[in-house]
Amino acid sequence: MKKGLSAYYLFAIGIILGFFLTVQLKSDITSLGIITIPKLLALEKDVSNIEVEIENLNKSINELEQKLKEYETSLSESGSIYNSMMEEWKKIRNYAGLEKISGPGIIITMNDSKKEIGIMDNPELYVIHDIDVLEVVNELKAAGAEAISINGERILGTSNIECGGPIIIIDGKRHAAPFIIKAIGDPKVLEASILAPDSYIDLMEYTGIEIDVKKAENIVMDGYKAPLKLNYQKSIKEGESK
Amino acid sequence: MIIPLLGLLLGIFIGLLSPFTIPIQYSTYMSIAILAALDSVFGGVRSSMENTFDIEIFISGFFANAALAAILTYIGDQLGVPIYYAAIFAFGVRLFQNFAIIRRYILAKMKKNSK
Repeated sequence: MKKGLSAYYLFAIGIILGFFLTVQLKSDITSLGIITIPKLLALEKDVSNIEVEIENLNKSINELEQKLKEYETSLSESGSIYNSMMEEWKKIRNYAGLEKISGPGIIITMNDSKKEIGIMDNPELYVIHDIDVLEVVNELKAAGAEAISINGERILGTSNIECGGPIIIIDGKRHAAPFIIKAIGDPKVLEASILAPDSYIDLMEYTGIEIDVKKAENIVMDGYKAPLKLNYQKSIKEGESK
Repeated sequence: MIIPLLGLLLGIFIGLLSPFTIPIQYSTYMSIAILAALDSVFGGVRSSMENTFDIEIFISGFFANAALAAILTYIGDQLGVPIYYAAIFAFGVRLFQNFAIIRRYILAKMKKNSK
């Protein structure tokens, strides 16, 4: 009799257990686990990253709204958005380095060392290498140069500077010393950063490489002349996926 | 042994048909309740095999254990310390102990039958 009674209760508890189990499984609860301090910090970082992203998106919304306003005003003034589109097109071409431009900036002339080389000296240190030019160009970019040319060759975002033995190759064209690097930007800032202690030029001068930095009020620079080829990239409408 | 399993199946059936779901903040309470129920089932099976089944102990054990575990979980939530681990640990240990005893009974029965 006792055993029969226990069966009922076990049956009831079994029902409760099965009910709880299925309800819990049905609720589709993702495992939260314990929130440890590193996890908390990571989440905080995520949140702040997302906040920054939102801010950037808001900024771009403002910019786009401004552009839209520009289009609208030009549409109401001249009846078409052709003019403002043309202006934007020119701006983009200037930014890409395709147009002939002028502006204030600095001119750097680099020449091989004319020092007498001793027997023990490494002659490698007394000539200009591709990497030297590359470092100077990078420093100019870091200082906010808007346009850079080397020996009349316009440097684009995709330009390459390679070693070619006694010469250097810039975008497939050969150039020999002296190298004249022109940069358009704030002349004071460019000069200060290029001549700063511990800058690349400051280090190069130890080996007697001749470097001359001049500020110029009006530098005229040709656009990029080689044909533009895009073999691999395609335009898409959607934003970048991460 | 078969009766609680039948109950379990019926409970699963009811659970599937019922519209209830658990909000995420109460999921720990639910898991504790599941553990308490599991503990009671194993405890009940064991005691009925030993012929020491007592309704009062069984019922009070189920509700009191579940209540204590729920209180521990609540306190832990307030303090930010997972105290309900204590309940999981206690229930878990007892579950395995009861299961071991049940296993022994079943094995002994099988041996008797084969002889």
